[in-house]
Amino acid sequence: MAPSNRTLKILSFLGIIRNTLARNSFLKLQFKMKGAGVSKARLSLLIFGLSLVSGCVERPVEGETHTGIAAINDLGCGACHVIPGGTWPKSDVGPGLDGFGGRNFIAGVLPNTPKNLAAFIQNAIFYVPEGAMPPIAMTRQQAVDISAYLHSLQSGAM
Amino acid sequence: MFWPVVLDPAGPNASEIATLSWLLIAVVTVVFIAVCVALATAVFGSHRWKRFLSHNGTILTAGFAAPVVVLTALLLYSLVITKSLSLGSEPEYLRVRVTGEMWWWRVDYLDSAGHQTIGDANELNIPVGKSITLELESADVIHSFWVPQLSGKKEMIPGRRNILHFSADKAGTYAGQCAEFCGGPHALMGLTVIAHQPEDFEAWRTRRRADPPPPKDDLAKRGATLFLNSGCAACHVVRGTSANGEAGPDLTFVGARKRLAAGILPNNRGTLAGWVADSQAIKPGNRMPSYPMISAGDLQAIAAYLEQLR
Repeated sequence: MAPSNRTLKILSFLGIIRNTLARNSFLKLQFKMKGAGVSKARLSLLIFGLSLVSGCVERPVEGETHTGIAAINDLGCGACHVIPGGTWPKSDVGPGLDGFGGRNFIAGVLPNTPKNLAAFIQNAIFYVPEGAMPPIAMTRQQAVDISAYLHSLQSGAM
Repeated sequence: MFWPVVLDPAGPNASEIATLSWLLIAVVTVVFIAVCVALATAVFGSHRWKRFLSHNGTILTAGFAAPVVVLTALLLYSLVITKSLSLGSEPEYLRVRVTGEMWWWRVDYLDSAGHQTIGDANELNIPVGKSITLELESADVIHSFWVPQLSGKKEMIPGRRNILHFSADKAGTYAGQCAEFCGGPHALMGLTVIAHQPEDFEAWRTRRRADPPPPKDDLAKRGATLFLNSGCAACHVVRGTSANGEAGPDLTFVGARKRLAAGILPNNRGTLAGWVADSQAIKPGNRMPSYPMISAGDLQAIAAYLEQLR
């Protein structure tokens, strides 16, 4: 069973808020606060509070970016995706993943959180039944690491 | 890519070649150092040393006699090794015909009468410690069979059958590579050799003689129908079905292969889908067309079907 449309909509909405807060505002805030002499600990506390307000505090998924890129190469993700840091091949059957960390949605549907991404890359067809990406056998750890790596990709990192 | 490893022998042929390589490297190193010292002495040395180096006797000994002796000795040694490598030692246990194609390997396991018992591609399964004979042929241009951990390279020449005898000392997976430029994606023409313990090899051989089980789930069943109806069967064999095209690799047990597309990709449902959709992006110039018009659902089904052919 794929998640219902309404659930997806709610999830996406929360995802947008979270992305906006965590990425853009965070950077600007950090910049301003640094100027104002606010300590890092206080800033973290503030961000934590803000994310509570946005209602999307998520259990962090432990992923290692360097084992993530190794798994990407071992599994041959390049057979469909151009991935910065990937060795070979660099096919474009699916979307290129440069700057993936800054994207709001996975496959245009799912909020782009590390947890969602780890689940999606193992069984894409479950979340996007009309998509072309097949389920791919990998360990949970590989999925989490790949997710961490893809989330570390910012635009222009090619 | 799954690159071949050199100087890490896993069979008697490769061991002899590795010994020869190390001997050559050692001799070359000694000669190189000697020449450097002589050169430095000739430029910066005392008059006495310079006189000694320019003496006729020195030039004849070090510059002529020594190279003749060293190179002749190495030549004789390598000829002896070449001869021993070209002779199969023990009674032949397994005979396989490997045919080089642009840009993959056709692999036919033969019975004692020379008939094909198992058809496969891009992967060679052998038992450890047994004498293997390969009939090396080519379907088009010159290729060269090279699995450096097991043996030296041997040409595959159109219209000729070259014989290669070898064996493996330990179980493992070894990478091979076409070692003669054969056009376009020559560099992407890899091979996987899997050496099993003899009893595992026999179990493998029994499994492979049977047809693959029919697809179980609905997606794979739909994939099987698509495979037969949308043209895949014109170039590929899947035993037990009506797919009998001989132009491309045999796909009877494609899901069981370690690698895809002649050694170059890991084998999973994702890479299978990527290859079917756009093989030209992965291996430019290869003879399988890309299928940009395939629908996402059909791609899912075909990839699911191929993955369970194991």
